[in-house]
Amino acid sequence: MFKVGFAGTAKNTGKTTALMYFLQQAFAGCQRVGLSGIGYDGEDLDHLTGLPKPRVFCPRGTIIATAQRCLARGTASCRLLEVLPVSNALGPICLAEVVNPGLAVIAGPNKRGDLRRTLKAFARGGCELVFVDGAFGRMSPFVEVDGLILATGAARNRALDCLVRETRALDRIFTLPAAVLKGAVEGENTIVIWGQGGGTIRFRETSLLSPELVQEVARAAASAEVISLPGAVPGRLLGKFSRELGEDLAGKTLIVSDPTKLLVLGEYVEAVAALDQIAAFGGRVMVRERIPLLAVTINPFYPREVNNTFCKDFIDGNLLKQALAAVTRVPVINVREGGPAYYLDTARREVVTIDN
Amino acid sequence: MKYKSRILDALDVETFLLARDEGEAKGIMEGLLVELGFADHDIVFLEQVGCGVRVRARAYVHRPGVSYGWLAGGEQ
Amino acid sequence: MMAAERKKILLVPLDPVHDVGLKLIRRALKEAGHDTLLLPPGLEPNEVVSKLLEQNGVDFVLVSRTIGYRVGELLAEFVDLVEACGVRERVILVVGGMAVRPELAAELGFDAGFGSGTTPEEVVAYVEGRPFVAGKERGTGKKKVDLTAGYSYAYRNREIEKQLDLITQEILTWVGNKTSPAVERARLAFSALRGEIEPGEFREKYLGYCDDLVRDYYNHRRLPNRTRLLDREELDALERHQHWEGISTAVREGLPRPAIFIQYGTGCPIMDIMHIKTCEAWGADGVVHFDPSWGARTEGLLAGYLAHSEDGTVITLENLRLLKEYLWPGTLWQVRAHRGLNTPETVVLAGEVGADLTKINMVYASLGAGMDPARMTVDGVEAIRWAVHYGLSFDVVTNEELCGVPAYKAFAGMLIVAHLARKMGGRPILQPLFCRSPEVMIYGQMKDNYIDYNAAKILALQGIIDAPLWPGAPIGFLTHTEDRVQSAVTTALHACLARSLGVEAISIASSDEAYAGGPIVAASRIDTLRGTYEGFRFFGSAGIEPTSRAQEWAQELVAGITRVLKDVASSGSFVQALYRGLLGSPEDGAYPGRVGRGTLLRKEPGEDV
Repeated sequence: MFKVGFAGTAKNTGKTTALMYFLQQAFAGCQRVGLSGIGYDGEDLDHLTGLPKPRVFCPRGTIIATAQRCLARGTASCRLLEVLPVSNALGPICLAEVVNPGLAVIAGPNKRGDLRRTLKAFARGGCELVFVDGAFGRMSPFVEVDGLILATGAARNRALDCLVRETRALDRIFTLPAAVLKGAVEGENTIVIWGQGGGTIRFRETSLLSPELVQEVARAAASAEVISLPGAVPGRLLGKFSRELGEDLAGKTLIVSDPTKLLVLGEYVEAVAALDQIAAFGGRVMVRERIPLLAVTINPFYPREVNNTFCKDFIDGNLLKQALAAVTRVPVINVREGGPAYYLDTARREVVTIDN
Repeated sequence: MKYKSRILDALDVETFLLARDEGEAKGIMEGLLVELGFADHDIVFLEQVGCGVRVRARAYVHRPGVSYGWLAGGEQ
Repeated sequence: MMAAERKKILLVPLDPVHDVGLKLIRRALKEAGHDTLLLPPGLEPNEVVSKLLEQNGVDFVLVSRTIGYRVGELLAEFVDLVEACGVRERVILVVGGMAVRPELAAELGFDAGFGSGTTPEEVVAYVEGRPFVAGKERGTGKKKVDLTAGYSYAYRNREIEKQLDLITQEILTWVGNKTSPAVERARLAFSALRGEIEPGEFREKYLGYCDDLVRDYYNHRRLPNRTRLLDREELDALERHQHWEGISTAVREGLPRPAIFIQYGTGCPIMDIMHIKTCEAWGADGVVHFDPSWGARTEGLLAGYLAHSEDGTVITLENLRLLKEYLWPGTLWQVRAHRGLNTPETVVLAGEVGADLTKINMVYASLGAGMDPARMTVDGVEAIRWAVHYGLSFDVVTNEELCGVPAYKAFAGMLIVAHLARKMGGRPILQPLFCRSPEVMIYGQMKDNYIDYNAAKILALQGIIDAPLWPGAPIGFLTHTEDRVQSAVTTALHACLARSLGVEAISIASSDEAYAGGPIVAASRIDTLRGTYEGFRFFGSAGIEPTSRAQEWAQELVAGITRVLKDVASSGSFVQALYRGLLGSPEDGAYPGRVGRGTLLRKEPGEDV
């Protein structure tokens, strides 16, 4: 079973449109597809009824994992397969099969452990491919997937150069090499420093969360060979760490648990600046677990504020696509291109299903 | 003390104090009366309910049998 | 008393300033025996997570934050960081604040979300892993009473009921397609409090319906005269100041009725809190918020923790929330809306913040408080609608008696508003005045005693309808002098009379009631509470016996009320009846007001009525 995560850099970056695009492609390949999400994909509240409007279209046969109480909120009819021992703020999460296609509200497991348990259930249900929708900029639960599709676009930042810088940064972080010393660091859950003479310093902390701790670890690491940072490593503090050690970084290896740990607090541009600095000083950064980036999707749409209200606007999609393709090795897909065809296809599929 | 002599017998000071208990309130009132210049004083009533204490403190100006300022007609 | 396992809870105001709600929750958690640690407001997510990691064995993290621009991102980053640090599985993350819904909590990655209207007891129940049953919490201390419980609102006087039906039907039809700046503001405020409207959009639209005083405040930070903003240090100092912890003696213990209300409004919410705490301890069952009179004549409400150096505490969302934080759970809280340009909006705030009661009477507001009858009728109906929405019961006061309107006319107006409320699904409480009004000074009903005419009023109303009665406001109005002994005695005696007549509640004054030279002091509030208690103790279940005049006057009142209602009904227009003086005329001393005249709008915006 292959597990794909859909991560957005912000709201309105077309994550859901991208998800539907891939969902359709998957069904074209006749695979048994599972679908869940780590947030709540139900669109804004309908201001008339106060109820959320669903927007994820699920073809017949899709296996979804969502809060049980969300099943009734969509237009898709589902057959309950299993109530999982996992819940979120909306209650217990269940596995269900779509028997009549339609829109569904997807609110699945929102923490890493729960996502792992849910993915196991998908595997038991015979899924070959599972899509996991993201929420806001939350990346950490995606440690559990096999690859990521990243949605970005004008909603995150309208300035092209900013989007380019960020995408380059994300590409860089997701392509960090896997650590060769994996075995040695495996069992370590806190910050550990291995010295040249074989001496080991273990910290109580897992994560670099304060400038004071950064200083302390940097001091202890002056003559280290390998530094394992298993928890969160915010970009700004990694920058401080690199400045503290400076030339002393030469020949040292920093091992971070996985790429998501460098994305916390949304400080990935800062993280990449730090990675560049570490490299310049002759050090290297590796990850215990890689999460491959599969594709970048772009959405030129953004909500523009005019006189205190919002209206739809777009930046130049082609320009954006070309600019991003230049800084990442993975395919860049404009979700607005081919959009109408996709919707038409979907509609046709629905009609056909009903006719049957 | 030109006004004091006109008090018939005593001056009562009643208030509501924020205090932990009646003991603390008593101390505060005694201190206050001394600060106001009344050496001969007493606490007539203390009652604590809730966050404070109701208190009635008394400063004697003319105890019965002393020489009364108002009778002497002196300082005013 | 603690049945549940002791939990360790970290309380996080992930907000630049607000932590009032969390403090309230912390108190409830502490009372339930749990360990709590409240972080200061304004920390960054990484600082909060550092604190979480430093603490061993935290079971719950309760984050409070009002939803607004980019707040979702901030909260999501916080959750993500907790996960990245490897402790997400060990701790339950809860988010609370205005506009938080379970769907949003799920989207942000929290385990639970609590929105506005959540009680601390609900949060305690969640933490203890048991289902929350509203109204069954708080086994100890004073119980909050529902003043309207057990009343059928059935009419004992069919003729009056018939006239009221005609009049109120006409009012609802007349109001039909009309709206007003206040009605629009109330709807905007409601949407904004739910996060359904962007702050920028809200502000622009809201200020479009406001007076310059309010606009200047929002746009140029220009404070109205004699007001100032309380600063963070003062509010923090208040939080540290906990003299009243753990006190819960009710001096009225064992005496079921009536509930005793005091009226506060020193101008400063901090002083109000001290007065409220004092009164609660000395036996008050409820407290009534008084706002400055200019607040009623200004279109729009201000914002912020605002102190006022004269009578009346300014109604702002923040002030009300602050006051609510310090109220005992068993204390009834009334936020008055009745007499001004902000009536519907005040009900919305009162409902959102968790008040129990409000006050609405468009007849008094029109005849005794300077409001234009047409505008006030539209606003009044909308205010009742909001009160019903929030489940707030409200009193209908007859303060126009103080202007000289005879009781039978004032009561006719009161019954119209109460009947209207019933039609709309509300639970009104009748509030006849216990007062030595101009009427009785002229006609001499109190020449011999204060008992008979006050009793007549109650008997008259009890003969008309089975509805709760709450004499006010305050009882003994115009019998008080500056002498505190006299003042406390007259209050106590009026209270005993009310109790003997079987009313549901009373509002009492302090012994400073007649003193107009400065603020009321806490000691004077204790005077009358103490006096009332002694009176209740003295009479016990023994009653006060009015003379036969009481029944005669009661019959005269009912006849007068019937006459007035027939006149109003046959006039065909309630609003015109107000202008024409049928419910109180210039000869009586009542003048239809001008405030808000010509401000009504049609429901389609832009068109004047």
